[in-house]
Amino acid sequence: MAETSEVPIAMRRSYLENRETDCGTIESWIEGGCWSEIQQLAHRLKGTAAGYGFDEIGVIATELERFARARDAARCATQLDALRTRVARERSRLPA
Amino acid sequence: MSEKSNELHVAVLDDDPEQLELMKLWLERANVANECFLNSNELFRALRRTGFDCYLVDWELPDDDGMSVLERLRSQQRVKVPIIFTTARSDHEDIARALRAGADDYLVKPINEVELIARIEACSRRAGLPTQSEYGVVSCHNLELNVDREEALLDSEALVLSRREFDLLLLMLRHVGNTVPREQILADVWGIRGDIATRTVDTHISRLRHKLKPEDGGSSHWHLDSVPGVGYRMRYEE
Repeated sequence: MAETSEVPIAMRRSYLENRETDCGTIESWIEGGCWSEIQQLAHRLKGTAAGYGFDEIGVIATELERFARARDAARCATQLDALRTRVARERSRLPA
Repeated sequence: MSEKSNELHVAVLDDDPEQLELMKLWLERANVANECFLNSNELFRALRRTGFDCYLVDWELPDDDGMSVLERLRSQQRVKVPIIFTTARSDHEDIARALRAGADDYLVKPINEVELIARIEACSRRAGLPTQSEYGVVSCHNLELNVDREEALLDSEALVLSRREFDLLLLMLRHVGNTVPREQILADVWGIRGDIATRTVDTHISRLRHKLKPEDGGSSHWHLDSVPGVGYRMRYEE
């Protein structure tokens, strides 16, 4: 994480804003049973989150991808809640 | 880092804009010139106008897959330019498949900034691409150009070059393996903009060819090939 500490705040903020949008999208995909879409999005988050300094989001995304592959709606919803909470927490930590 | 990468021109292909933004930030921070592409069509269009010293290719692309991009790149390159795969896939079979298919290296996402730059540098060194030391010395194989002192060494022997010849050799060496358009040569070496009819470039290239030949009369390892209608390309041959 040390090497990512210098990602500009604006980029990090924008990244979190995009995740807020993702949360709404994931919710509708869980309802619609769009498992491959959830997998793809989670796979992508898994690859970028740590780079922006949000390692925990990467961990949640890994789990979300796994549960989407298993078509497990309940566990996907749990990970979605975790993602929402984490995104809100990270946003509150960013300087205004 | 003991060597600067600031003469490398790297292409990054990834369909995720956030991944591209991050890689661009890291490459620019390391003074690595780069162009980012969201799909393979954009990359191959760019290849009609320029060349790259290294490719970072995402394995999973919406319009293509990394493996076929790799095959197309290899078929289009006259010299072996390093291709590094990037992907969130991490199982050993995938890694082995990519390397066997011709990738020079493999980076598993999430990518680390320091590792990314180090791997680009390592691949470039292995491919025999020029590197520039912190003392302003550009070197590749048996050729060494000291930019600050405007001195050139071939097999450790000084080359007698005019100022223009030195600038021209430096430009060609920095783009070794890639075609440098005549307009770019005129602009960078002579400060002339636009396509004008002149034999100046050809004359200087011809002189450089002669000077790059070993004194014992043997054949030169360095070749300055004419690319008809475009420009010139420098390459090294064992």
